[in-house]
Amino acid sequence: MGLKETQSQFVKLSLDDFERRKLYANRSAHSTSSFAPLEKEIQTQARSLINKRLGVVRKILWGTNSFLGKEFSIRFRQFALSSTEPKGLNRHRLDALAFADNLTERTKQRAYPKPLLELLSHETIPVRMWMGNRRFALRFHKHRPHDLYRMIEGGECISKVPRKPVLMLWWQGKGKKRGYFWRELSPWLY
Amino acid sequence: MNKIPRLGSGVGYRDFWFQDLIETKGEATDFLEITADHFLDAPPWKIRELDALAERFPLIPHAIDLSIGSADGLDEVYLAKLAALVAKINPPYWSEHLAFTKIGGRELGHLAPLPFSEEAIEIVVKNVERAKEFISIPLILENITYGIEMPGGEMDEGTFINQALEASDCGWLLDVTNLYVNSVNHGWDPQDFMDVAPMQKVVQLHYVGFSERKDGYLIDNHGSDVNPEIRNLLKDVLERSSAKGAILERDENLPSFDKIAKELSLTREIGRSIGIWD
Repeated sequence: MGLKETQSQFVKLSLDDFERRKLYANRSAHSTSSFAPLEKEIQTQARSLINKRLGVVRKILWGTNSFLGKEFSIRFRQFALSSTEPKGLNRHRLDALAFADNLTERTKQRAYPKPLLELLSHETIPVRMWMGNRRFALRFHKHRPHDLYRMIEGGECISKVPRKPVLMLWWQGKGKKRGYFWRELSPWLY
Repeated sequence: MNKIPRLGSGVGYRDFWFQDLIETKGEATDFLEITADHFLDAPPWKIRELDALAERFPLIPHAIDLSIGSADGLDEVYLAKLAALVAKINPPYWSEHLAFTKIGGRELGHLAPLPFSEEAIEIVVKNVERAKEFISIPLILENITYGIEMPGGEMDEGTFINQALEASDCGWLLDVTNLYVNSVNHGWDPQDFMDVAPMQKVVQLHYVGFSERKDGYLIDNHGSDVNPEIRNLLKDVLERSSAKGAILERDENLPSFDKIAKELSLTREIGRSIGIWD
């Protein structure tokens, strides 16, 4: 087996749960792959790749992670096994957006409290602004992100968050300001 | 490589420490290593951050996704962006890993080892030659950790690194933690490794702490304080090489910059006591 084939097989086995099952469940196929005796190492490699992705996505969707707790990791691992791995310089941002979409769909199916939709939207705005190099963004929310974060930090369920419509203005830092900033515009604040 | 200046004791830049670095605590570090990928296709505020750092520190770009060991060649779109960044910073050298991260349009998102083989060396040489067409300053390559020995190996790791660096005319970014972690996980002696490895090619070092699993397996998690074993090996490496600088490479559980400054100071003292840094 040449280097290209070795590398292709390694990547395939590391990323693709189906390929791993096929190789390690079918004993008769073992003789054709030099990775056959390396099942333990390949499984460890596959798990650590998913954990690495999870670690980064957790930082991006930190409020959602705090709210969902262990469920966040469980859902992400299921998502990672069934989705195509992201590519390119923005791979972790794309990963976070795709996972946020996955959680959004599940929230719409009532797996989680509805206000999670707004938290997911709020937490993905800076990612979308980076990727689109956007200077400004506007979002309308039925609930204040501040209230959502306050409840999460207090260990309360966000399903009881008070309804306070708010227009969110986001902007990219100028001059010495680094990162993305947001302000809530709402009559509820005055 | 001989023209590369002495750099001393530095840290891998993480934006968590930006204010500390820009303000008074910046004097604690002699130079910074920046992860090149964090500044490719970045928005204007991130580029201004880079400019602010470049005004104050010598910067060394460290790439992580060029995949210098890919058998199907380099991603030239990535390479062109990297070349533009290197041109903007104008460093004395740049670095990548002796590894691969992608093949056939699929990306691992992680550094994977090459088989320690002649064929892998030929691929590295070919890819380095192509990279040099875009970036003419010296390239140094880093040894990685590996949990799996890639099938097809024909030699030990030290010999592989020696031959790959010699054939590609690259310097060595010796990661002391990776060296230690591999020695424990694969059961060999780091001193024996250094007897075979090209210590004269070492340009820069990386070091950070490691964590240990219950079964004794070590993990270079980039999130722990520098362990005494690493500090001791760092001293041995500095005594056996003429590294121009060492970078503390902390990515997780970031401590205050005061703590980082203490680590940098300890490393600087080792370099000075050996007489290789000012």
